Amino acid sequence: MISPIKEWEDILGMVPEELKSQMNRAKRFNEVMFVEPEPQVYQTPKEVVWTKNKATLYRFAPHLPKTKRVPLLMFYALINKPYILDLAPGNSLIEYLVNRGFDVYLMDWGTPGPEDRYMKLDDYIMDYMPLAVKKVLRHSGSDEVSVLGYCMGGTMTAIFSSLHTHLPIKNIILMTAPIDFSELGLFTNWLDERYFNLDKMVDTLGNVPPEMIDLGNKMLKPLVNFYGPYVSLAERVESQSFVDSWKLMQKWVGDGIPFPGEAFRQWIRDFYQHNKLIKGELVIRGQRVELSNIRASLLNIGATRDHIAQPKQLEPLMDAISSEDKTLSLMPTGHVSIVFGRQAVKHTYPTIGDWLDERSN
Amino acid sequence: MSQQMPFDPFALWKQFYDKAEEQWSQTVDEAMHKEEFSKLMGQSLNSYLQYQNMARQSAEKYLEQANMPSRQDVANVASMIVNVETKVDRLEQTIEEEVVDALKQSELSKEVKALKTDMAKLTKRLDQLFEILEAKTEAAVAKEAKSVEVDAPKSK
Repeated sequence: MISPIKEWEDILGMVPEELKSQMNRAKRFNEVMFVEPEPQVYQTPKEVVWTKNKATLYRFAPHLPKTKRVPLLMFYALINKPYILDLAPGNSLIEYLVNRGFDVYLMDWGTPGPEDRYMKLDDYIMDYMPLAVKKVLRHSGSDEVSVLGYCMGGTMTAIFSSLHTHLPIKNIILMTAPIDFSELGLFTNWLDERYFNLDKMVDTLGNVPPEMIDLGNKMLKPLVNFYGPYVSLAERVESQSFVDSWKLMQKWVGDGIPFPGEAFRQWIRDFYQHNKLIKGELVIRGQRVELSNIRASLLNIGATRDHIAQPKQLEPLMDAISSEDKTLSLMPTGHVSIVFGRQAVKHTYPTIGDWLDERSN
Repeated sequence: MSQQMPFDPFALWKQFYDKAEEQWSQTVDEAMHKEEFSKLMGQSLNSYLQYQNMARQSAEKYLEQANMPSRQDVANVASMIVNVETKVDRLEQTIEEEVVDALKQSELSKEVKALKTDMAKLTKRLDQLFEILEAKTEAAVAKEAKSVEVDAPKSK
């Protein structure tokens, strides 16, 4: 009996080369989209240092020698998984830094459940972040620490640093961290208090589902974000390296976590609707946030093609802080490609590594 | 010999996307910037929330009648566990800090003790030195007196 696969291959062998190539492309596209398993992420070896509710403090590559005196603690946004900082070997900021001898820690917020709907930014900034710093200091035996915040985690890091001046924070690195929320184009329109019923949304949904946050971000450039990735995949599906990167990126983009309800209410009202942070009107657990309290060395990194945290949102921080040693660095990338992909490996990682190297001994 | 296909679906798709991106992005962007769009989005969100509210309320009523816990009930229990965990955290922190303080204090008292011992040794040695010095001084004085007594008749 002739195998149907063999028969099919024989038929394929007879079709013109061009058609064969197109069929192979379609087959490969189908495999990538529906058959192949999800890529492995978050692969740098790590150990758990401390846990609190859903959050976990990790220390990376415990087996590698640490040559830098000052450890680095990373904070990430509340709305995504933190593995964008450690996506895949050769494409990981964390892996790059541990290979350079840094002692790297990461605060993974975990996935909030319905019981966390009343968690506010105050809880994260006043309870979780200072304790994480203390745990890092104790665990590493160091008397100083560097902190890095990415995206919303950067905004939280800036607020945290200005409120906890008693903590020995030596260096601060902020990556695409929005500080000034005035004139944000579409976001300003969509979140207009006259039409966007924020209270009803939080009261009804509790934690805001990740799909809604993702939809809002993708709507900024609907054609490019909804349609573009699949066209790009079809175009370059025969390049294995492109497919690997594409799969990693799609996995991360589609792997959001719910935004704790009260923190969302605060984030939208105090930041997007009233822009309180840069105006000096933001109050966290009864304390007014004054960015001028920041005196540590600061590296502020932005991305020129970022639609979520535009460079104009980061730049005002430079004048608001009191640090004498401060640097603004703009990368020719987008919001995500600043930490993932060829440009990140070429520009962002060395920029962070070199800057921190000079200030970590 | 290469055989050209009269029709390439991938190329057509890409072409369509490029044209749509070029022509429609601007139009879509302009439309989304309009106040009407924000209003429409707000209305859609309200309708969605109304539906969600109704669905949630009816589910809760059903679960209550069936004597089954709702998601809210489970969340309440979880919240109590989180509160207990927070208290344990605080206790742990206090203990850690107190232990560190106690360790620091015990280190300090050890240092003070060592310092006291050193001081005592030093004092003892100084005492011995003084004794030797005193003895030597007395001997020297006695010798001096004796030599004076011997020399005195000669001078007369």
